[in-house]
Amino acid sequence: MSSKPNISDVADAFFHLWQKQVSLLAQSPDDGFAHLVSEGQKLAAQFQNSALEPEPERNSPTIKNDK
Amino acid sequence: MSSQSDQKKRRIGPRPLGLHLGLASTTLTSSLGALPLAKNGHYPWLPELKAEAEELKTQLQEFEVEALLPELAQRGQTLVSDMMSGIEKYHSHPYSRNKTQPSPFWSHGSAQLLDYGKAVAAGAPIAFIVPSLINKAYILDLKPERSFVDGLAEAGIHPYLLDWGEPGEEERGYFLEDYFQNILLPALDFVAKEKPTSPIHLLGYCMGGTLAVAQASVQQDKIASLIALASPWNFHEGLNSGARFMISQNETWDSVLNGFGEMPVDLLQTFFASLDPNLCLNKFRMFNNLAMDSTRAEEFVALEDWLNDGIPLVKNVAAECFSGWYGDNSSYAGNWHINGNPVRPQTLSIPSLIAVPTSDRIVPPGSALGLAEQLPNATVINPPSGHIGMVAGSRAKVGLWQDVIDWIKR
Repeated sequence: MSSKPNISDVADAFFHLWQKQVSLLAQSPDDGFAHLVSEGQKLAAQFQNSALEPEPERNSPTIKNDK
Repeated sequence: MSSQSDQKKRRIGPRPLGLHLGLASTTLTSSLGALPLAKNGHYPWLPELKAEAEELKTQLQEFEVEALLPELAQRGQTLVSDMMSGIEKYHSHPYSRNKTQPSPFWSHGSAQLLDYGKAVAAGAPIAFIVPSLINKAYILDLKPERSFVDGLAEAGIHPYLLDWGEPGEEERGYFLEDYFQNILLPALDFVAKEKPTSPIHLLGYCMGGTLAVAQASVQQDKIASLIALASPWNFHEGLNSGARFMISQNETWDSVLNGFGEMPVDLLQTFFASLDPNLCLNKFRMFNNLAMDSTRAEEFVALEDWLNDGIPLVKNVAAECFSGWYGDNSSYAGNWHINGNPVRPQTLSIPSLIAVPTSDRIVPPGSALGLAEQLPNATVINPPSGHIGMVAGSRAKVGLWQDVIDWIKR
């Protein structure tokens, strides 16, 4: 059974991961930037698709009919 | 003999300090911006980090963004504060380089050829060493136990180290050709004349290796071999399009060079800082945790002092390097002319040793390998270290120094 991680450790791990991203981008900016643009476009498309989908019914039919 | 204890001066590094502090702050603030996206899996990580990011995402999702952001800000702030504390400790560290420099064997203008082999037997093989024009030669004689030239002399090799010095009135008008005609070619001629029974091995480090290739093409009848350590040759290898665009801005560089009259050290250091924006944050945090009276701390300070003690590149040479080497890749293309002839490694019949360190962040390995490609008799070695660690690191003595000694004595 896994316990909840320590928030400081998680923040620390994220900062180190972010540093790696920055350093790698600086060392191969062409490839890295092209990859980020491509991935960013995919994520933006996902956002757009999810925004166009109809909102699920907030009220269940059971409640609607329960007058 | 002259002492170099006068080097104890106020430290201003890491240069340019404002840029390094800005880069650290930018890393911190940008991490805060990326956190909410990363937590929701909407941040585009680089492929090599995706697995780690995916694993971390599940941990991030255990917390609300409102709780994570202050934690991250505090953590980042602590790291930046540690870096600042490390920089303050560096500024006040008592170390001062105090290594005795030998008297010159030959000199012209600001340049001196330093004789580190006075105790070496007559007829011993000679290493004629050419360093970069933009960094001081003493990286090859940093301190006791970190001195490449002392290591060579102890092995029975006679080192002559070319110390370019700071450009004076004469050198400020130099083109690359002048460095050859006035310094490199006559200095080697002088050594060859004075030591007629000693084989001369021409050894260049970094940009000095690039210059040594051209020197070898003019004087190969006087040298036994060429040794190029982490020397750029194919200048378009490893150069991204952003850097190419920046270098191609001739009008901008003309303004800089005409305004300053040279390529200032801080501008050169800015190029190196751009190779890893986290370098300063990480290394000064590490330094902050060292005992200031430890050998490790002293070695850090010695190296950092050297890094911040660069030499400005004179105007005409800077323009030639930007336009010819970086712009047209003239060295690799065979269009770089010295002494009236194109510099073509293909024409060198002497053996050559090319060192390409595996972790070089300053000279892309592909650039240095471009020279090996064009040399007919090249032996390539790959020291498992970085650009500077290769010559001055704790493992240099059993690594690259020994490789060079074995090569010269083979």
